[in-house]
Amino acid sequence: MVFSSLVFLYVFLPACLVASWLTSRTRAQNVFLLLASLFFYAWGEPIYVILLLLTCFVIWLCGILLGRARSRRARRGWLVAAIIFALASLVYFKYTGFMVEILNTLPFFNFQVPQITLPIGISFYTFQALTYIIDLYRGEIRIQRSYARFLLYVSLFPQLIAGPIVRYADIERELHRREITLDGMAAGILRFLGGLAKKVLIANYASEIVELCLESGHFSQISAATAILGIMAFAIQIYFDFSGYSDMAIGLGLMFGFHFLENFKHPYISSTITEFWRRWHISLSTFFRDYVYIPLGGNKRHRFRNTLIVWFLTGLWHGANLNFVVWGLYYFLLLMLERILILPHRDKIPRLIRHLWTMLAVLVGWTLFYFTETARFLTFWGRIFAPGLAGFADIEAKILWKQHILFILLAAVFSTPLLPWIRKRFKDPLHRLEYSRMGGFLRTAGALFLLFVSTASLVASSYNPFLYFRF
Amino acid sequence: MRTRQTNQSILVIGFLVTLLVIGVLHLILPEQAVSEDEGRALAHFPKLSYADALTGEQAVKIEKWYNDQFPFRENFIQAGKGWRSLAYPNLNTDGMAIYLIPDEEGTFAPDPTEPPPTAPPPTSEPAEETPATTETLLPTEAPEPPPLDPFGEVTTTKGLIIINNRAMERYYGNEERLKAYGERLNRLNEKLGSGTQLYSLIAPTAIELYAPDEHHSGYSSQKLCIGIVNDTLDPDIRAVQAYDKLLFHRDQYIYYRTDHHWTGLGAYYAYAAFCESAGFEAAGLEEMEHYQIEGTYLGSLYRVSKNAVLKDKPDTTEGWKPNAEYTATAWDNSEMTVTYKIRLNDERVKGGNSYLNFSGGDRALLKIETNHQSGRKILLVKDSFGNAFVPYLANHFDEIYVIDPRYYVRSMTDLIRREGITDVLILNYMFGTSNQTWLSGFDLIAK
Repeated sequence: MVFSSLVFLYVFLPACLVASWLTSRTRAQNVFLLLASLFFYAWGEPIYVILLLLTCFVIWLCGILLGRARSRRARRGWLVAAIIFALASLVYFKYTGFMVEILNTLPFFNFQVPQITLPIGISFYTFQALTYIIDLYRGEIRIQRSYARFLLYVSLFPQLIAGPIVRYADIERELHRREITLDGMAAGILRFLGGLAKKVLIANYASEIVELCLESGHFSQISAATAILGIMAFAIQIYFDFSGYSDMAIGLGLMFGFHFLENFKHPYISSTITEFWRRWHISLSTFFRDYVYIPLGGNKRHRFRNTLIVWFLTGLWHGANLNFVVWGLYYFLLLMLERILILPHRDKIPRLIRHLWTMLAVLVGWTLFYFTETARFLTFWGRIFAPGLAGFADIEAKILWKQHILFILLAAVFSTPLLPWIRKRFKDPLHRLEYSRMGGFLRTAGALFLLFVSTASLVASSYNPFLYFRF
Repeated sequence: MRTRQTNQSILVIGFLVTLLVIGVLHLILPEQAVSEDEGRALAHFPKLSYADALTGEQAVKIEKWYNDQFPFRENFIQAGKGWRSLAYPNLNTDGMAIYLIPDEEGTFAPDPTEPPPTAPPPTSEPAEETPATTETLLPTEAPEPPPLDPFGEVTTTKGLIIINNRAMERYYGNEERLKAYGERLNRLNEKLGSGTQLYSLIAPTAIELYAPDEHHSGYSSQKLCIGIVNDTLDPDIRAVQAYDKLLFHRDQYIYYRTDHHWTGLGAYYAYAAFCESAGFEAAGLEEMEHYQIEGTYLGSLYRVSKNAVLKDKPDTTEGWKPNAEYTATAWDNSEMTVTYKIRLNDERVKGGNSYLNFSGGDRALLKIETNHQSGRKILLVKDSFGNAFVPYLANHFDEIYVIDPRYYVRSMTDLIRREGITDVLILNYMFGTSNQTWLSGFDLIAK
């Protein structure tokens, strides 16, 4: 099930909300949320729900055994066992086909490529489960003795299938005891509706522009300007799609009394690549930082090697395809270059220049990300650097730009911290409004308007896939 | 403080009540059987099955039911569409079609339901000396094509541009498809062998001759795209140079302004180009009987755009009758049992159906026997542009066969062999080179 479906919005969500408000006891809410989450997962993946249960069980069991182990070696043994199990299942379900394809490029190898369906959300929930066992080994959290509660942590439906990667440590306390407050509810609803609007009212439309530009029947003949517009639209699409999903997840968490960390902090305002990755998909980059980079030695030992490994894995995590690996390595190169060439002199370079350079680098990155076929990737860049007959901008490009650049620019403005800025700038009047009857009605009306428009758009169109579903 | 609490409550309650009300309405409102708007049956709650539950198919079916039976679905769809046209005016579905070459000619084709006239073949009257209403054919290659009027305001709508009271479909060629079209003709050529001469004629459309340069540059240039096809053709296939002939007469009334076809005069210039390829001397316009169709004509491009300016400036239709006695027989259905006698130029067709005056519209097969003794017989494989072209062929050939691959289903090569055909002309308009219906029909009969 996805959040931006009518069944979720008008059946699943109200049922869950009513059920959790019927009782204030966390334990009872947990039972209900667990059942609801498993149902949520099984709705689209009836078979693989078993894999989810099994993965959780093995890791939970390793946690118990780790707790009982006397020696440091035994503790380490259970940790390694859990990690191997989790990664083996991730590798098997996600990367087998890719590995066989790579093997087949070698002489004498010619295996049939197995067709394994990727279980929804496996990349996310495997990593979540790993944060538990690793933090447990490090002594940062206490053992979770209840399998059901551990399973609830991993399968909690707001963050189950497309992140953010919530660490066990961050919601450990709330798994045992949490409160559903009126303020939390209200904040959660606004956050959720904002995310829904980002997805339905911005990302879905941006995807249509991407399609017009980069998926036309005459893709090999497009002009440079069309290609550029297309990748800009994709940058809008992927940000609003993914951050919209994270907003919905965080909002839903709030409605049920959970506080998840932010996953996006306006990445498109970054003025360095380093900053971009501190603002984009934060839960993933901090996962790699804390569970791969630092254990490998961090900045202290083999910094170059460690960074390389992290970015190779970051790329690979996004998909079992060469282009994602190259995309990761591309960021490795950029970050290395930036560390040497730009960061030491950052104060001498105007912020605007740094910002433009960063956005250019990010856009180039999205071309690596978008084109999973090498031939199409090369065609794209061929059209930019060696415009064919269509030239730099043909009539098609001119019309597409004229029709869509306003939408892209407006969306870009919305990707900046415009709203937080307004909130800060007009703090007092907004504060007063918040405490007035009028303001209350206005806010509710605005929220319901977003819900209405999103619903109408959903009913009117059947087009509604989430991008981050494939990871 | 109390107000703030109340405000929070209003939001929470408003949100939840909305979800619940719609959720409950979904359960209690009666199910709809069909959507009138979409012309389809709506999904009902699926039969639950174990197999579906295991594959996840059950969920898909249930969601389909849920979405189809959503309360006030029609109203929500209207609201959704309204929002879309308000917030994203440039992303309406019509706009998306702009650059897609129409795969189906359907929307632009003349109304095929118009019954063909079943009058006896006209006794061809000797050509009267009609005063030359139009100038005679100029010696072609003037160095520059005639200039156009200054361009007025450009209106863009539904894949069309409208300039100076003329609607034109945008064209965007695809190199692979164009080459594939040429290869098709090459394959046919191999089957024909040496006894039969193959010709290719591709008619440009009005946008090429009457729109600002940017609308026919790069891959929108039909000159370029016709060139791509011609370069693909085997050297012994003759490419008819209709393009230049039309271009150099663009100051005349050779294309309709409200329809995607050429006029009788446009077809005449293409015929003149064909004569140069086929070794005939083209009949002069003044040698043929001129006629004017009664009433005005609002063609396919008006019907698509519903543009008011076009409505005020309808087209007229004229034609020239061949200098020959002929009988023309048309077959319509695939069993070749229903036949009509038709006129190649039928003045009785009026107004909105004007273009149907030529060769009786699109027929599966048309056979024309003339009183000539040239020893040459031609097969014309065409789309609707061919209709205005056919009558002129009756000036020269003993027998003329016309087939439209969209309707004709028998073997073209059999026909050529059986009837002893000497010349085969494939005549298509620019968009037709990528029209799937036409092409798959062609592949079927060229086997």
